[in-house]
Amino acid sequence: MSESEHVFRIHPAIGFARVGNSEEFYLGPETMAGLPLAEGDPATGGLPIRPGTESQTITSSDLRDRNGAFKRQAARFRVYEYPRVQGEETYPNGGGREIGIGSTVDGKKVVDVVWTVHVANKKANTYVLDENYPTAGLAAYEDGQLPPLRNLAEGPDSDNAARLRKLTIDPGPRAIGGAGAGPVRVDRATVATYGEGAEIRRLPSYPKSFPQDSFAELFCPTGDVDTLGELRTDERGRLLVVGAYGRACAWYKDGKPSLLDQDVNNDGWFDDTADGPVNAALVFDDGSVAEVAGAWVVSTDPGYAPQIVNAVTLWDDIYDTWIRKLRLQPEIFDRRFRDDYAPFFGGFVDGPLGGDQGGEHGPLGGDRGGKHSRFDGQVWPMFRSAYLQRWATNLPDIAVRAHEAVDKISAGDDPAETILGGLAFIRDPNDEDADFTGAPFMPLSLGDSNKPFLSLTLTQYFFLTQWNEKRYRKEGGPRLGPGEYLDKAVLFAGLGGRFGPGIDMTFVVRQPGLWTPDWCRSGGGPFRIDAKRLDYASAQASQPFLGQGWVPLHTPPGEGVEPGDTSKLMAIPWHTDYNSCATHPTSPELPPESGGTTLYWSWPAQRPVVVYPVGELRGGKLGPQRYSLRGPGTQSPNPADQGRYQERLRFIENWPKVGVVIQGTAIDGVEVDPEYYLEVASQLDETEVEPWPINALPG
Amino acid sequence: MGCTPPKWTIHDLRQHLQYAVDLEFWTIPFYMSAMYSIKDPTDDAYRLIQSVVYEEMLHAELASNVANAFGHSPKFPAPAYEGTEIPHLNFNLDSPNPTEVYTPYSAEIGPLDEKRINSMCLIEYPEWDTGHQPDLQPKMSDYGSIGEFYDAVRVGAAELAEEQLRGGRNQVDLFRNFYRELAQTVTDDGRAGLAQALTIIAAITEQGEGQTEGDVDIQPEFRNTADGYHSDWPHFRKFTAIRDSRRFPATYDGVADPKPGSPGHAAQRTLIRNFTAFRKTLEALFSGGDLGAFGAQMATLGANVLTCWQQGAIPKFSQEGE
Repeated sequence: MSESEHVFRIHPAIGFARVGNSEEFYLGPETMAGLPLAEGDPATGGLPIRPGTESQTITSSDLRDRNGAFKRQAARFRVYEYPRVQGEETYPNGGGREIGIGSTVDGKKVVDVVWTVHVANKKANTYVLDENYPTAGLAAYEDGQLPPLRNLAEGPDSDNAARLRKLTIDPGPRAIGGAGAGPVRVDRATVATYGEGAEIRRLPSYPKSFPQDSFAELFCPTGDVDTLGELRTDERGRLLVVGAYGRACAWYKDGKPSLLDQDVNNDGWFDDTADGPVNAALVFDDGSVAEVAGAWVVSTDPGYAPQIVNAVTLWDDIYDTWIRKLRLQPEIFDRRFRDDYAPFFGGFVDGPLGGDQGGEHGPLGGDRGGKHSRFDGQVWPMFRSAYLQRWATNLPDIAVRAHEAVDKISAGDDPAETILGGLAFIRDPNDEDADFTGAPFMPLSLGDSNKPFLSLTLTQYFFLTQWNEKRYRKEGGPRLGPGEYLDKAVLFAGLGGRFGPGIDMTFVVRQPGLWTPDWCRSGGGPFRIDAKRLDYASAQASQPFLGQGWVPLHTPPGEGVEPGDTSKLMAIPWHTDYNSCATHPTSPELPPESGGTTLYWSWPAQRPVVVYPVGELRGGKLGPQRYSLRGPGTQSPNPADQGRYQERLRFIENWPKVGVVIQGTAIDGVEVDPEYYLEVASQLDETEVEPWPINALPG
Repeated sequence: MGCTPPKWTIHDLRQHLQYAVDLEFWTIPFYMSAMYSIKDPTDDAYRLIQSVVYEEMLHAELASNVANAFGHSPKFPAPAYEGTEIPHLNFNLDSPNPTEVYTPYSAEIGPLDEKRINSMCLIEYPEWDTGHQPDLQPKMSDYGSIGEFYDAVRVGAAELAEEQLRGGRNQVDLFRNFYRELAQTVTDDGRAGLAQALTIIAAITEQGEGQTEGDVDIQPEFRNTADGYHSDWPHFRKFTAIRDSRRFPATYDGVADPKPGSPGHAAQRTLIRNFTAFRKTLEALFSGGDLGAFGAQMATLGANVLTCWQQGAIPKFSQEGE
């Protein structure tokens, strides 16, 4: 087989690094959050992975380092080989074989993988996130309109060189190769590098820009924003992108740090989250090089509840976009949803997953009973999500019992006899009036921009209606290749549905123009962001390398997406949005006849509102619930303001102290029901008073 | 009848409180069936009826709490839906006779239509203040309205509270956070407990037919604070609004007795089975048991009722003759 008969792709197509304030890190989850891992085993997916291991998941003891600092999360990327398809490829491919250093392809040995990553933070040089009905979110970009710029005081032109230099955090690209290499710092101090074929080129004149380059004085309560993370490789030459430290800095105005008085748009502030393209080149022992279809990395908030599945996951939103707008699976949607499509209910999918990927070196945690199996489905995961909400919200008992009944629906049940028969309690996303109708319609959490309540995606709802009509397959599926599984599992852990603006990614994922248009012919496969081709050889010290970048509904197709372009429309800094998004009244407000003071959860699966701390267990049974954000500085007499810091700055200092909700099977040192998902490793509890003697602080 | 009103016995009072539970419970399948017959769940009529269904479930709980306070754990027999007989109420005794206005009406389960909405208005019809204390009637069917019936219960409760009322017996407050201003349980004994019981009864009647004579908003302390719809409207006003709109939303059609083996028949069987289990759960819950599967069963009943309609069957909650 000649080289041209293969294509190579990086998976996951989008990976997530997450910030932490520790030097240590773990690897991001590579299994489906909250879904079973093996028949008869209560453990569910979604737990992060211990570094240096293939798939050994962390326990509660691994969340913090020995000093109590919160570990960062690394996104792990791999290269997969696929046979080149003549004509158009279909999804799912079902195949794929992982390629690493030492692998043989067409008789040639891979001697190196040269990775290039370029992340940036453009939050300060983008548009205000409009939160006001009816122009919130993407609506503000419609009909040729644009929201006002953030930091307008720095100039009205977002492509102005001075403004770009001042407000964009751009460390330039970084390249890494070999096995067990790194760390390569993506920081202010080190030289930019990029891969060119088998070589790693230095870019000493790359026009890097960090806040310290433009502002003589910065207010940095937890440290300088002088890095966006680091790169490493593991023993097989896979790439690890580790997030930064979760810092935020303000510049001074009139002798004082810029105010931190908004939830989403704080002028005068930076944070150290980022996003950008991940590229790789395979280097063979004969000196030849093969290009690999690129991926994207996003560095964002910590995963405080990695196993709790969102009612609408990031996967659901992206999959829905690809189904309805990018012809991913015409058998499901061909100008309309096809009545003859029978979704997979959910179950274990057995059989080889391609190459050696189900086994020792695969993403699935090894060989299970002689068969490689994983759980997947298009219907039941929604039921599981409903059940899991109880671990991050204060659902009343009657609702918890109802959600348990939803979780117990099996493939063999007659849908008409179940608690969801007739879809009596599912909000219809095709009905705009339903957006304004709360209980008993589910999901009962806050909606997307301009919508009071959340709805499932159209694709999710279609799958449910087919199930309700008894047009479904009882088994698990679809059969994904190992790389495709990674794509899905990683996105499944992210937040979808409510992009106001979101936590992992935002409404830009619903724009067809964000994605590679020719996925079925290019060899790259789906879910890949249409990265702009960057000519690093042209970089000049005098000129910012990155511009304003991709703007939804404005950038012409084909211009591509720059580093920093997907995270720039998130909150600046992320901390204030996370802090505030516990519970809210709906926005827009409900009409008076529907009641106006009832509070609903914002993003409970991604931003736990209320948790069961492990320390509150009573004889092994659940104890009282607590706010996830609690302790000094969080109290308020008004429930609308509880469960968050009353002064936003306090969260910038305290986010590393927040606990993490994980399954009982992963909690060390105490007997915990494996069905429980409890908060561990919180440092926000009231501290005990030390016995006398005690001393005043000096001064 | 002589000039001296009959004295209440504890047997009378407990029987009346069972009647109260019967009546509140009777309305739930009747209203739910009308609600789920509406195809568009965002329709105003759907939401108005839904908000009443929520409050009827609250009323069943509240009436059960008062009954338990007087030493009676209520039973939940299968309600009957036949002819024009709404249990324990004789509208002809009310003056002016509301059936002259709200006609035709039917006590049979059916879709939201003229007969059903008239029945719903009749059930929640306001009591006209007769200016005197209602007498104990040996049969509840001798009361003209729910309001008059509850007025009688108030009298009986007051007479017997000192000796018979004990707080904290099998009290349930499933909906505490949905009606934050309303104390839903009887926790004290004797006269103090009576005040709590009378508040509970006031909540039932105010949410239902409203205050006597005149269309008055529900007092804030009795309003749904979580998921209501027009929470300040009594049930009678809500149903009257639907009736007066002179426009019924599109509803499902159904037959009472679908062919055995048909999806509609199967849906009815499922509903009967689950409603029977639900009744047992309620009896256990209001006899000191735990919540059990209440939450799941209540929601499943809604799904079952909707499925009946979607399968062309009129919802059926019990076997013939049960």
